[in-house]
Amino acid sequence: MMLKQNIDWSDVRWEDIWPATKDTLTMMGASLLFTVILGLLIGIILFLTSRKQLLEQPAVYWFLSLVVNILRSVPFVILMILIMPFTKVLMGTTLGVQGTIPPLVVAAAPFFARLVETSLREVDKGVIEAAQAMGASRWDIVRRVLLLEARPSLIAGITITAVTLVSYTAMAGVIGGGGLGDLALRYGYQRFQLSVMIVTVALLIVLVQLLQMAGDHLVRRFSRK
Amino acid sequence: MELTKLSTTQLQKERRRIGMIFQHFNLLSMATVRDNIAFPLELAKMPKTAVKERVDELLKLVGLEQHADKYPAQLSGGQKQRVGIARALANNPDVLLCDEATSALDPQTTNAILSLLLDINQKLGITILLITHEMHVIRAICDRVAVIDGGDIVEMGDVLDVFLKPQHSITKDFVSQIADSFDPRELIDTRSGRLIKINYVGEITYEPLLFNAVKSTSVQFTILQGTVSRMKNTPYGQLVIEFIGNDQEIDTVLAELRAKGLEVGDLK
Repeated sequence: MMLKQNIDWSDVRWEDIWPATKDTLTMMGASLLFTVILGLLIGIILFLTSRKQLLEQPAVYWFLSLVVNILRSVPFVILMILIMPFTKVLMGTTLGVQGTIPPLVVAAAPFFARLVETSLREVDKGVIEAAQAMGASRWDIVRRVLLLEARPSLIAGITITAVTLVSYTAMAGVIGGGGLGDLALRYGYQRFQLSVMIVTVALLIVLVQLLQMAGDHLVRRFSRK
Repeated sequence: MELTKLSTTQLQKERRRIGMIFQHFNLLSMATVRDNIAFPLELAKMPKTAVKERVDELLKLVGLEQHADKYPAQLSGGQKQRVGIARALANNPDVLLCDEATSALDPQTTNAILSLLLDINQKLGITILLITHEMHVIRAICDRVAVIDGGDIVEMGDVLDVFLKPQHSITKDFVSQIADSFDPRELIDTRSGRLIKINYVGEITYEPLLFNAVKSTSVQFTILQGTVSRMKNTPYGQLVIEFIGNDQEIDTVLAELRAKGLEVGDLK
């Protein structure tokens, strides 16, 4: 009963919430795109240069692995602040949707790269051997064997990354990133408008749920086992 | 040609002239039967229409026309290996390398795959190099055999020669997988007659030689141990026989058998 009294649903201003939702979707979508491109690249290099793989290069692997680990060990909120100068140079601003995309990509790409590395490691070695025996080049093997065989697993990895990015975008609200997180923080927390908080959280839950369902559906569609 | 000394690109090119099939098939699980067979052709940059034509040809050769659009997970082991064979043959290789190709298959499927291989060998004139530990596979389709122990070839020759007269101990070990491993020497002390070992090969296998040789004498015989079988298409026999009678007559019988081309030797 207490709770009911404190909630004033008239605080919920949908004309603010829809643009915020759109911002969240834009941030997530754009950063997911760059994260996938960058993460795939790093993940493939990590895999190929690791022990007993096609381009075994201990030094390259060690260095790349170190960079990935460092980026992954810094909490997102801190990373966001740390790379502000970089963001400013790249996007011209550290605020809003634009200012949020670089830190999101820098945080999520190393995470996704590790998922890619794991996915590629699970590809049957025999198939790679067969492709080599057929005279496939390394590039052929990456493109026609590894990426094809790992596809369901990579899609699952993209889904996990997308969900992680949703929660990162909410955190980006702390430093003026915009979107639903920003709304929840400014109205829900600073102005004690619990109703706004509830609506934004509900929207985030729906968003995550939809992403997961879409990802699972795609994984099923592409599974052949 | 020394393949181990080639550069990467040279080796990639040379490998297209060697077809290879594997124990665990190693097919692309995410590609259909058709796409699996097309894979080496695409690697060789064959134009699309030519690929389709060649794949259809290969599907027919291995008898998988019905399954062209299935994925490997929907196929049986034998069908998967047929895809492997079609894929290996796609680029018209000079040699087909079979790495334990039947070791993961049940006996019936093994036989079906072996007869397909034999067919390919005879119809397409492709040399098949078969790596196996299954002696019956060698007996069924091979012409020549090399025995490898610890990375070295310890014995090599026609299958018939190597299997009937194994020299190296490891060969004897292997051959005993399909022959009777029973050692006839154990019989020597318990039998009173003369123990003779007889080997023969070819059409004489099916002639009544023993009976003809003894019928004009008073010599009797008992077969103590023996194999009469075929290797690929050649019949052969290996017998241990006890002859009972006087020595002179037995010698006459043995001389007659030798004259017919049999290999005859005393066991004692």
